[in-house]
Amino acid sequence: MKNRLKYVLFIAISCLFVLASCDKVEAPYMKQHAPVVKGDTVRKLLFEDFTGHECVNCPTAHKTIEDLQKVYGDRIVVMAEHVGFFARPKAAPYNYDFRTAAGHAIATTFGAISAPLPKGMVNRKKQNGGYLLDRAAFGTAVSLVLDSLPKRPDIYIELNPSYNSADSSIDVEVKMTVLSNMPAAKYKVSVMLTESDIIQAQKNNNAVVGSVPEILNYNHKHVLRGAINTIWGEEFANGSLSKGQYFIKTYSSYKIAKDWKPSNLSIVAFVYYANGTNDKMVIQAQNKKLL
Amino acid sequence: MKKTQGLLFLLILILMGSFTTDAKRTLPKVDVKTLDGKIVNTSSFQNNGNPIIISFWATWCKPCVQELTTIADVYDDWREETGVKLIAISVDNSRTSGGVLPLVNGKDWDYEVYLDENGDFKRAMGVGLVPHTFLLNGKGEIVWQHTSFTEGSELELINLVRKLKKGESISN
Amino acid sequence: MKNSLRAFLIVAIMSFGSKAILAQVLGGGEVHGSFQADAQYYKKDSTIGADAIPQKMAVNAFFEMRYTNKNFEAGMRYELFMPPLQGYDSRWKGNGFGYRFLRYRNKQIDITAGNFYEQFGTGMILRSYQEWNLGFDNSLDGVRVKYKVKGITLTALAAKQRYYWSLGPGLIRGIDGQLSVNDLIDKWADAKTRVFLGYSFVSRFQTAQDPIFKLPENVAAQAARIELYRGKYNFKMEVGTKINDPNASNSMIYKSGNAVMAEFGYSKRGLGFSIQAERVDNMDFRSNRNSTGFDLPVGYIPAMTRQHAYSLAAMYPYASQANGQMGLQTTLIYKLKKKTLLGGKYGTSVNINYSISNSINKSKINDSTAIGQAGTLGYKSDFFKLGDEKYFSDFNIKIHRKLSRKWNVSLMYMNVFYNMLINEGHAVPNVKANIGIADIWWKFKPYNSLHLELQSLFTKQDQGNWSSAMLEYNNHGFFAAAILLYNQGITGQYASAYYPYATMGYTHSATRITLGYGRQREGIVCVGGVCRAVPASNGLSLSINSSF
Repeated sequence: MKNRLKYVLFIAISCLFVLASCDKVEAPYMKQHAPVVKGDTVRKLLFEDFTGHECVNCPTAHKTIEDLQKVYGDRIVVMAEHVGFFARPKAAPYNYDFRTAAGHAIATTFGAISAPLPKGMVNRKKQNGGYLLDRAAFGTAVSLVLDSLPKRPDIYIELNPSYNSADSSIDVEVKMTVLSNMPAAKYKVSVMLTESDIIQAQKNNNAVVGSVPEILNYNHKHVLRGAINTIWGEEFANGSLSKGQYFIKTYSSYKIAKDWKPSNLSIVAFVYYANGTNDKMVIQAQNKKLL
Repeated sequence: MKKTQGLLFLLILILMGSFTTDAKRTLPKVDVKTLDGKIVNTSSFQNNGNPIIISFWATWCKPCVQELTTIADVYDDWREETGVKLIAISVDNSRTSGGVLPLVNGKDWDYEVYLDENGDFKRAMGVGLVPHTFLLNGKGEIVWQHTSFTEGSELELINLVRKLKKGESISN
Repeated sequence: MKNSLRAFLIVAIMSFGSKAILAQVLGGGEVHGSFQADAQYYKKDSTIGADAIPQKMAVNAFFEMRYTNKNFEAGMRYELFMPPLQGYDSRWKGNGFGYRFLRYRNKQIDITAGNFYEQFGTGMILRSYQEWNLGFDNSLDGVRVKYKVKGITLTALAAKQRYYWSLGPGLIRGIDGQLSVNDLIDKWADAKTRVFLGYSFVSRFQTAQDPIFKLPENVAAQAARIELYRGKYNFKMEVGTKINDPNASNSMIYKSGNAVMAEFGYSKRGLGFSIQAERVDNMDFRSNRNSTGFDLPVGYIPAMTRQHAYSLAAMYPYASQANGQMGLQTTLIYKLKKKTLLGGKYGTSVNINYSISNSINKSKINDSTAIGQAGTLGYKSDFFKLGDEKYFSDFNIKIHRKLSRKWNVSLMYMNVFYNMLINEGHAVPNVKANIGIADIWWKFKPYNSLHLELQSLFTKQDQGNWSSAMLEYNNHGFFAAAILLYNQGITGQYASAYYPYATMGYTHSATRITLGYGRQREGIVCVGGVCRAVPASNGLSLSINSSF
């Protein structure tokens, strides 16, 4: 009898949690969003997209990023880094070399050079023990920064680029304004150059995104072209920062290559911790079209 | 944190080890499945006071099948002479376990065969590679074990069984 | 840490002080375990695509120990990957205690705390297991209770899954009941027909904060099974479903998943026959919706194909597609009688196997939605209709004959079709290959034998034709073998290459040491009595394996 009682109890407890552990989601499955907030003094994140033209799943990842940009607008600053095995130039039409020394160095530091692609990275922040994100985790990582943290950024970055067509060079002024008090640390600013609308071949296995198994005229966006102030940027402060402080850095005569179209180029800048527990973590990012 | 936890665990285990008796090792009590679906506890393995051979194998393991095929040819003689029983434990998982019964019957093996689908018995016995063979004396104590099979291993095995039958003690 | 160490020291001193008393409580226990170490020194070899590594040498090792005392059991495994051998996931790098547990059990109840391995039914919706030689371990870390009463076994568990050196984000809760119908009523106990029924339920909880998709935080799967045995016949079937689980592997579709597996067998002395069928639709179930590849699987959908032991036969193995496949496998094993014309003096064993796997049928849910579009129900599928893409097929026949007391011969023929995109993720062409194998044993003295194994694989695709020859010498526990593998290559695409390899080893009781040198292509290598999966490499390797 005592046994039977135990048995009934066991079943009862089991049933209880069974009923509690099932979420049926009804259509529509996508969330509806209010229009994107305007105004530039807003928190922005750096999204690094590790990709390659022979990576069949990468167009699907790009689609995910575009879907996120529909929600967050220019609050997501994207930098596509073509790295590793899938980015190697091959026989035509895969003979274009998207790779850069900066992309290679960054991918090596964060482990993307040997990882299966696509991989993403948000603000160079560790999530669940690693920097790299699988495609399905992009949205959550972005939301954790843009929805969970205050809308107002800790540091605001203003970019003033200019283009000198005579010698195909770029000058850029970077102004960083501290909007809330920041802890003692080394602070660095990185300034990079990206190019969009590069039409080249891309492998693809997702019919929803485009033709399979390859898209010959794929629009490659936010492609990292180079680092304007070295790969790991320049230190602009060492110590605690207080509200209202500002820093200005200017970089001049950065030469662009012949096949880069100035009208497609953008300046990407971000501020990050260069030591301490938050080492490498990006605080704020900014994007501005060259022209 | 995990490391310190584990280290503590190890120390406790060693401590407990210091209380182990010198008695011979017996079979761990683990559930395995017969080829007709019954759950059987390994503690029920017995052979009327005669030695038992326990052989871990898998359908995809060539040397395992070779070992059991080789023994099958002489198994009747072995049983007659020494009363030994061979228990074959298949470590095939659900992908290949469906092939165990056809193989056992198709090869006409006369062994007692059990399935250890998720490797519980295998882990409890410390088996890493298959084939792995254990020899139990009439009291059910594990007196000898061997990993891998090469031609001639079966002769060594039956010699040990004969010794056990004569009451000689053997060890690795 | 300091506190726990101090506490431990106090306990240790106290217990040694009162060893006599404690020995009565703890006495009679047993400690056993096993140990394995694999080390490899890597040389760069661009001909075969083998890389050197900065550390020069890689080591994988574990040490496992178990303590048992009456109803109590405790165990742990220390693991070391410094760095992991090539071909193992780089996230294994490191060392520590990857497995530890405490367990109490008596005739009715069985409680485990810590890491454990479990399988519900065929494992369709829950299976945690470990394959050290593949670098795979998805053990559950939590609590498991089993309760047994006449003919019924109930299992309940709540745990997270091991994820390399940490835990996966999802919480797994599951219950399983197994019922042995014959044991319920005494009258049925000796019935000719034996019937077993089972049901399992598994749920994953993972928090969701996705800005685009409405994600279910709780995803549940359930499965029911039946097993029937009557005389020479047996029948098994399991049916499972999973509710909406948009995840990385199914490209965020909300369709529910389902799977059916069935098996029928007939066998008698000298004859074994079995046929298996499966249909799987959107059943990739993991403890993290963002994971892909080998990370964090909860359910196990097996590939219904033969697992080959010969290296060239195992060259193109099928990768099971948990998100959609229809497969069939049939096996016939027959022993031609001794002392007949066909059977010969000692009898001949014939083993025929055929398996095929196809895509499932998929059609649009409506005109405006593409098949598999994220954030929709994805697709509709006709249960009985085959998809139009073939994933894999394998026909093989193996004949084994003992010619005399000294000579043994095995011959095998195999024809395989292998879909490159599905199995390896890179585009066409698919591989069609024919494989022939001859395996000859000569036992020239009771403890001395020579073993010659010849294999050839013919294909116009991928890397072209392969052939291999191996000569092995065995003497008691010692073996030495030389292998020469040759890849003819394909003109203009793959250069030809030779892979010479020599290996020797010694086994003493439960300890085995092997040493190898040379080039190895990726694949399963079986020599000197055991099989192991080995990645492409060039260099010196050493393996030690022991249990106590």
